Amino acid sequence: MIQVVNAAALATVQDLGRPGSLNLGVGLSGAMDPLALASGNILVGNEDGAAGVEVPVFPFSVRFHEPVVFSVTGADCGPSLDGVPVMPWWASRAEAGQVLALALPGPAAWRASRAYLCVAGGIDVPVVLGSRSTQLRGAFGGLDGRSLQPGDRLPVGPSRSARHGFGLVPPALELPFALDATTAVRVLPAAEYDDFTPEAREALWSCAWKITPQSDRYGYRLAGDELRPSRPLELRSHGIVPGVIQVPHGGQPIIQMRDAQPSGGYPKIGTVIEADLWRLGQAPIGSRVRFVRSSWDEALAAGRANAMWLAHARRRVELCRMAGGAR
Amino acid sequence: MTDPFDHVAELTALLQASDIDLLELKGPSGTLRLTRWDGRIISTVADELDTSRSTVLVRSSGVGVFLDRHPLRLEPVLHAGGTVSAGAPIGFLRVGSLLTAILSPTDGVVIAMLAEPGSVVGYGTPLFEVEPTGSEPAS
Repeated sequence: MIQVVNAAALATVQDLGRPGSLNLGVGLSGAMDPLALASGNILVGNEDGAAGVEVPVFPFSVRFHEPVVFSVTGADCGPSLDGVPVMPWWASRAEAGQVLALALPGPAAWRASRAYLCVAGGIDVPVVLGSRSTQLRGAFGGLDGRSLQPGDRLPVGPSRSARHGFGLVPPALELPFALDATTAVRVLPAAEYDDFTPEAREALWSCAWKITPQSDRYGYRLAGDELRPSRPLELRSHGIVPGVIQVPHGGQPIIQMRDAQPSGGYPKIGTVIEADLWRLGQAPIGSRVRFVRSSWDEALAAGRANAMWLAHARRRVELCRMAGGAR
Repeated sequence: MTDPFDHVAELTALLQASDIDLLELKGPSGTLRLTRWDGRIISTVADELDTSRSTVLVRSSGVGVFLDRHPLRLEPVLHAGGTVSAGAPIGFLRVGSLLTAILSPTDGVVIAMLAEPGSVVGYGTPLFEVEPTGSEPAS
């Protein structure tokens, strides 16, 4: 069991999400950076999709009530255990009673915003509709369907004695994607793309979009060039998925994220490919992002590249364990 | 006589399987020390060519790319002349996406980094020279 000592806000239990329930009006949820969560799970010997804690606001700290192997992935938040630094993206061991503290991410080779705490055995909250992810809108999943508060106790699942003392290079450093030194994500034109003016379509690809403070797990509001349709567009509400870039009347786009509701009525100019949503999930507020026009085939290839990276990471970690690198 | 350094892999495996925490072999050419730290066996060789002070050579435990900092960090783990404590990471070895730490076998001062960061190093390549605390040169 681990206990939350200090939680600034909005830390939630997340796994890889709750796919397959959009038809019930239930959104995807899950880690904003699924590659970081899966990597953290690989480090502690879990399945990729075990539940961990997503931490978007710092400081954050937990007390371990039993010895456990853990990892902190995602943003480098200078983790420390009873005040002694531990490595980010590393399998480490905590003894009963020790406190793990995560601080505000500082300058790093990869500027990211969310950290993930994984423990061997996973955070063992009840599975609801096939997932342990917190569904904030519906107030279920995770810990009582809400974000974590000081004093909360999180059960840890059973684990084989996980080894520790090794780490992973973050995939952001191995699968970088940027345009003119700005974080980039691949985008497919969406259903109403052709209904926007030629200038708007051009601006979509050329503007360095700023991520405004009105950005969270539900969606990212962007600031940049104004995107205008060629004629007024009135749409009935229809199904949407995370990654969809909607353009409301103000002409400033909104990207739907993991906690987006499953329907909407704004025109859609594009869709960020699923394989690049983790890059967006880690892009800090105030930073800029570029859209790179992509194809269906490129989108699928990017998904395969992510899966391959995780498979290689898992194999390397398993080999390291077998070599007796650690106990 | 045989150099104990020719048998580090076998000795490490034997020690790993045992409940022995420290094995030290001293000979005229040097000292091999195998220590269990955090569940792992760390090998160090103290070359005793200069008997006035005994520095410890920290060697690579395998093949990989030597790094002087965590890939996410802008600063190296330590600077020459910096003090280290036993078991603290002083560098990293990267194999694909896997990272392992190079740990200081002793409290002391890092005198020299002996490999170029980013270079490929082999098993036993000297990486650091560490002067243990309390082993100042005799006057």
